[in-house]
Amino acid sequence: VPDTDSVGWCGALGYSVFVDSGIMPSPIALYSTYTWLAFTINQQYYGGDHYVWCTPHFEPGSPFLSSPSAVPPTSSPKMIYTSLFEEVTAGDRHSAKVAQNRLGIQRGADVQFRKGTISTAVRDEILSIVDAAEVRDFRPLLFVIPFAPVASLLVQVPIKARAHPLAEEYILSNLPRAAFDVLEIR
Amino acid sequence: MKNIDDSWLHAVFAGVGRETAVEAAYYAVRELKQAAVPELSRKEHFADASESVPSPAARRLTSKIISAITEREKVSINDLPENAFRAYVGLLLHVVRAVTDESVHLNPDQGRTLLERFRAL
Repeated sequence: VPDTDSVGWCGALGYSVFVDSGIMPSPIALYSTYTWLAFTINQQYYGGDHYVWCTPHFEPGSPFLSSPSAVPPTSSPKMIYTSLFEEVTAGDRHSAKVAQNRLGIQRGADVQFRKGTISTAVRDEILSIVDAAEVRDFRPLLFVIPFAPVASLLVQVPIKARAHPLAEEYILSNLPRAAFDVLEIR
Repeated sequence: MKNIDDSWLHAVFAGVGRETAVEAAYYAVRELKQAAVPELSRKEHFADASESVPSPAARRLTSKIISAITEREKVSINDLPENAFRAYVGLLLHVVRAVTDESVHLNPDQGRTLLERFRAL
């Protein structure tokens, strides 16, 4: 689902390992904040493949990182998770994150329809679900994605689309469900 | 903040297809959100993954939406008050829903039933 910073918001463990080249450190895991509704639509209608924006830093401001993170707070999976959780818990009907996610899921359905992945009937079914969705359906989920198995699938977010030119932000276009864990923190 | 009605926004969306409306509203919300972000941390709101770059029509409509909002508010979107920002996001959703109703038969009962089933999984 091509909803960038809303369907797949992505954040390091306090240490790094090194890839084979020995030059670039690679993280243990990647993180992304999703919504329950976007996750469910992907599971039910897109074969369990997920479009994910992610970063290796769950909490870029953490004092436990091995090196400074250029991921700004606005792209921090922890911050996004926390603010979305608060908005959803408060039943905030005017939440911009929820609005953006609604539009993003609709847009994703249009993209999948154009690609021929889904029929008109299924697209309209998804649109009906999004239309009927309540604020609680946008509660946040945290994706934890082990780095090594997906390293070859990672596409770097274009610099202009990153929250900071040096921020490590990646896109995984068709991430299979088996490749990540989903956490719900309350 | 001005008293917000939505006729002017319907006029901005006049004659636009649903897909373009959804796409443009998505990017408009993204741009409005950026206004609250420190300049150094802002993203170029149209920059996206290669498979989901915005269409030229959506780009034009997004620019029209943002221009219409700044014209009404007489301030840069960077200076848009939080309550105005939230109100415009709500208006955008409302207008997109109206555009959707013109071309797609949404079935609220089906949507609710499916949501209940998915919530129970």
